[in-house]
Amino acid sequence: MEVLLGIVVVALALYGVLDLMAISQKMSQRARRRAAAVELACAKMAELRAGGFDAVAALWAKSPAAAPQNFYYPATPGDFSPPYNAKPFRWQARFDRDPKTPDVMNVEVRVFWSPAPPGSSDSIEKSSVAVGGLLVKK
Amino acid sequence: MMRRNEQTRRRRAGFTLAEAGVAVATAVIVFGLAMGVLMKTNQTVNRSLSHESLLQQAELGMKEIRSVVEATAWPDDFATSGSAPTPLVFGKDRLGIWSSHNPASGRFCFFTLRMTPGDKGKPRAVCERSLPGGTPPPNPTTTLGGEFETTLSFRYATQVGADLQPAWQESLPAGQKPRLIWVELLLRGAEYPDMPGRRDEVRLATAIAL
Repeated sequence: MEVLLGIVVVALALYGVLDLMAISQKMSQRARRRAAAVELACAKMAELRAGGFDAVAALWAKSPAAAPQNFYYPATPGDFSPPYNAKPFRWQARFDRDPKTPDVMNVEVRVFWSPAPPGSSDSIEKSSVAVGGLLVKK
Repeated sequence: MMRRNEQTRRRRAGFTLAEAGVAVATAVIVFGLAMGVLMKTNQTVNRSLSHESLLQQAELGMKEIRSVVEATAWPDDFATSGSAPTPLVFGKDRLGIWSSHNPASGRFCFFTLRMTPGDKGKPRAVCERSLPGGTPPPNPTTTLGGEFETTLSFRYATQVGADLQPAWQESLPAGQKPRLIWVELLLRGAEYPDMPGRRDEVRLATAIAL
C-alpha cells in the first residue's frame, strides 16, 4: 500500500515536471514567433507608409466589398512575398476612416501565424500580433 | 498459547526476500524514470536558455540597425558640417549611411553595417562608426548578434507599386535614395549536443521607411 502511494506521488511529481517542460517549450516558441511577427508587422506598416495615403485610398475606391468606413487589404490574410522568408506568417491591414477627418486613416496591420483564426478573439490574440499607425494625406 | 503468539510476531518482523526484491525493483524503476526526466529537463532548460539568448541578441541587433537607419542624415544635410561626407553605400550585404545616432557624442557619424568572416570562418555582422573628421570614435566597432553566427542582408526600394508592393532591388547605384530599406538578420546557435546536425536559429526581417 505504502509503495503504491509512493509510486503515485512520484508519478504526479514527474507529470508536473514534464508539464512544466512542455509549457516552457510552448512559451519559448510563442516568444520567437511574436518577435518575428512584430518585426514583420512593422515592416508592412513601413511599406504602407511608403505607399502613401493616396495609393491606399485608390485601392479602397476600387474594392467592391469595402465598407465606406473600413477596408481590409488584402481581403483575406496574404503571404509575405520575397525577399521575406516568412513561411508560417500571413498579414492583413485594416484601414478605418472617420467622415469627420477624411484626410486621416487609422491603420492596423495584423500578422497571423496559425492556419486560420478560429473564432474566438482570445485565440486570435494568442496567434497574432498587431501594430497600429496613421496615414495622413499630404 | 502465549509462546505461539510470540513466535508468530517474531516471524512477521522484517521483510521477506520477495518483498525486499519488489521494493528494490520499484525503487530502481522510479529512480530511473526520475533521472530520465531530470536529464531531459536539464537539456530542455539549456536549449531554452540558449534560445532566449539567441532571440535577445537578434532583437538587440535589429533595434541597433533600426535606430541607425531611422536616424539617417542625407549628404545634403552636411552642407554646413564643414567636412566632406563619405559616400553612401547600398549593397546586398553592406549599408553605409550618415546618421545622427552617435552613441559617443550624439553628433553625426558614418555607420557601416556589414558582414565580416569572423573567427573560425563563422560569419559575423558588425556595425562600424567613423566621425566626419576621420578621427576614430571610442569603440568604433560593435558586433551585432553577440557571439552567434550572424548573417545580414539588405534590399532597397525606391518606389511602391499601386498594389502596395515595393519593387525591391539588391543594390542601388550612387546618387539614388531608397524610400524603403529591407533588413534581414539571421542568427544561428551552436549545434545541439544531443541532436547532431540540428541548430537553433532566429530570423528577423523588417522594412524601414525613410
